[in-house]
Amino acid sequence: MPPVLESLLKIAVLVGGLMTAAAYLVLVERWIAAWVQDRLGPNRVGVPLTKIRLFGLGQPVADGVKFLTKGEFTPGQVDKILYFVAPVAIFVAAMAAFAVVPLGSVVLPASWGFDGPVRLAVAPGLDVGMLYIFAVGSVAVYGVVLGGWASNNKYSFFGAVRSSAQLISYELPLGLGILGVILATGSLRLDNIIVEQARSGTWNVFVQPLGFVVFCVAAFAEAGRLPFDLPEAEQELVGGYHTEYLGVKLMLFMVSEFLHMILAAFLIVILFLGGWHFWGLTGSAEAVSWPVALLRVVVLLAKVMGVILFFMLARWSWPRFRYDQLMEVAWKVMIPWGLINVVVVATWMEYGVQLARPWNLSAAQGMAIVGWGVLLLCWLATTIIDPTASGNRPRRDLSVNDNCSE
Amino acid sequence: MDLSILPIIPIVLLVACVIGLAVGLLIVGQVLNPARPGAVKQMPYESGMDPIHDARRRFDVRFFLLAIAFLVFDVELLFLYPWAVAGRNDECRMMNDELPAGTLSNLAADIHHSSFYIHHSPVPRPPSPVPTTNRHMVFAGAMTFIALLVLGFVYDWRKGVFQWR
Amino acid sequence: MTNHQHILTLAVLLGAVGLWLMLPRGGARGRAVGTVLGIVALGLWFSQFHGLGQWTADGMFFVLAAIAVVAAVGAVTSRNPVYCAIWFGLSLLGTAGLLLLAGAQFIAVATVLVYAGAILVMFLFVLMVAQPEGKASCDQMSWEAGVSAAAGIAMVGVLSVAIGGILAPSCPAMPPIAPPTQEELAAGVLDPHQVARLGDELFGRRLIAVEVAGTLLLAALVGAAVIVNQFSGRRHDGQQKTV
Repeated sequence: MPPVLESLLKIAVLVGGLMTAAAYLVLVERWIAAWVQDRLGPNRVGVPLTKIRLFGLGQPVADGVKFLTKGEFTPGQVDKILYFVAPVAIFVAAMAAFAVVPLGSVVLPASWGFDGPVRLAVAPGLDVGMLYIFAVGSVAVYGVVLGGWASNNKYSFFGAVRSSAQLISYELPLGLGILGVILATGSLRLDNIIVEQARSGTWNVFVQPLGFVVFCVAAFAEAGRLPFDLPEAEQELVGGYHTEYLGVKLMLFMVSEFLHMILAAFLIVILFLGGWHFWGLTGSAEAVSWPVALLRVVVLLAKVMGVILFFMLARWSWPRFRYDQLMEVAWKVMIPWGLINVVVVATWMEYGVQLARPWNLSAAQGMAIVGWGVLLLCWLATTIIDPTASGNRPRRDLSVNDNCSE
Repeated sequence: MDLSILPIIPIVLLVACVIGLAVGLLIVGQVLNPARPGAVKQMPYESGMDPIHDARRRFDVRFFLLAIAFLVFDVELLFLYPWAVAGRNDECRMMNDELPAGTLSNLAADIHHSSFYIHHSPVPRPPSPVPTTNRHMVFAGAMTFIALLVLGFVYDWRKGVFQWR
Repeated sequence: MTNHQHILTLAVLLGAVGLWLMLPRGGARGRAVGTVLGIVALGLWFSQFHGLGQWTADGMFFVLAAIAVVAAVGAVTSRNPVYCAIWFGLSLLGTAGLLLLAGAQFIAVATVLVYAGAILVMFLFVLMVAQPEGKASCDQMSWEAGVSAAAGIAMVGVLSVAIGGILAPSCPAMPPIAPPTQEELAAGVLDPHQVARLGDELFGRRLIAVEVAGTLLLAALVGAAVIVNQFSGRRHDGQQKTV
């Protein structure tokens, strides 16, 4: 099969799957919200003109039609070009990041024109996969900044400034959390990271819990999910940077948000939760026939779905951070934790065997003990010093009319 | 030179397809329901109040400082990634997992060269990763680099760059 | 001089005049003429570079190069600083694509990460924070239009005549450059250990340079703290709030 054709096929599956997933995750999120709040949730829309309701499975289709048939007017005060560029930019960046996300690999019959295993990723040849996702993610900030600036609305503008500051602040803990995994794997390729975990049978979350915590928190913030959804804190900023958007343009922003969440879930699963690996189920060989490959895809997607459900439960369980708390968590908690994690992991990778030998432990066991110990110490130290809590008490030196500016 | 083996091709294809999809959706939206502007619709939404001035006002200088700090940390991190990749070489790996040296690198090479993109067989396998210079030296260098970063970080913290109230 | 070099020189000169006309100084008609001249110059320029590979190679290279060059022209000729920044970002993406095409994956990604991701975001911040309307006259006018156009185009001219001379089929001094074979490409461009090699080089032989860079970045962090004290001294340590 010609490579370009094969790429196009994969792209079609990827884009179609992601758009569908984003649409139905909205429904899932609403179901979860209903379940948490003890109400019914969307359960009406089924086949039109009949009484078939299908538990509300038609809801995403109806939402899509509604988005497409909104009156597409452009507010008068906006920057006419950048107003349209912003949603396209954020959508393209969100989609493009999935180019290197691997679903495993499969050996197909040679009579179909394949020699060697087919790797189930759009761009499997990219050697710097993790950094590529980072780079594309940093481009996603543009959509937010441009959307807010072009809208020329105060809510949008505040939302954009806040949001971009939040996104760039949490990019650093994200990178630090990944650095530990890369140190342990020696590769920036996501499939190598999975293979390494599958081969040793030890998921990274067991040996680097500190990195996992840092990465998870940063991933929540990068995806703009509650409790980090300051960009569009609807009680204060209406819609944040997309206040002035409607119709298809708003849909692109919304889909991008869900794509960010899906990507964050994929990364958490791949980097820390073993990817497609499950003990005694999937094996660790590189070249597998299609039943095993299918099983691996199912395992991977099940894990991703689990993480997404956790994201959604978290949304309906916690209140939002205040903005100063948000920034202090990034700069005063997560970045120091991430640095500690990198130093500990690097030291253990370098001298761990010598250190573990006297206690008759393997390197992985020793790393796990050290990792959990360091997590506990960091936790204790932070709860004692706790920059967010110490900055959270009412300030007696502030008079009433000394309101804090943005 | 068959360029289709390069990893950029699928990425460019993906980006082109997604741009096409987004622009297509925008056009469909415009066609299905064209704009019906009105004087009130044209105003910026400010919860029903009449807007009093342009939205683009000056902001606190701290956002700018944050951007500088972010930039510096980003560059530092970028230096650390190659170190992190190079750090785990054969020696360390063997000590860790009781596996023959080069397993992972061979595996990586296998994965790489069995890619469907390369159809013509005998491709010379690249030499095994890295002739390590002096591991302790590299480690000490990286730790010094991180220490410089921490020094700047602590200085900024003490000077209140990360203070948000 | 060969015919080839005549055309290249013509293209570069046309480009210089076009760019000079396009720089934001006023006069929409001049800018339109400049745009036409620039397009003609780009066409001429690209027409002189062939034989880099097959049509896929050429196609991909030319598309990315055109994106990079046109976006760069947009970056220097836009009146609105925000548009300048966006054009510049697009130009960087095109450049990163070219680097990726050449197999320099790490540098490609680093370009996007540092320039498009960090520096430009900081630039946008400055625009939004300091002069949000983008109305400062110094940003809307090009003061040294002629000098900058001449300097830039002298560089492009020297480079393109030199490289074009090498690539020209009739050049006697150099043998034609053979495209790399599949094996060379796989071993070099697609080397799965290139990042590891880079890391070993950086923290091995170039350790001093890396530490110097780290010190420089430390200086930048200290500088940031100095700025915060200068601009908002009243709230730098939270306690002495005098307002």
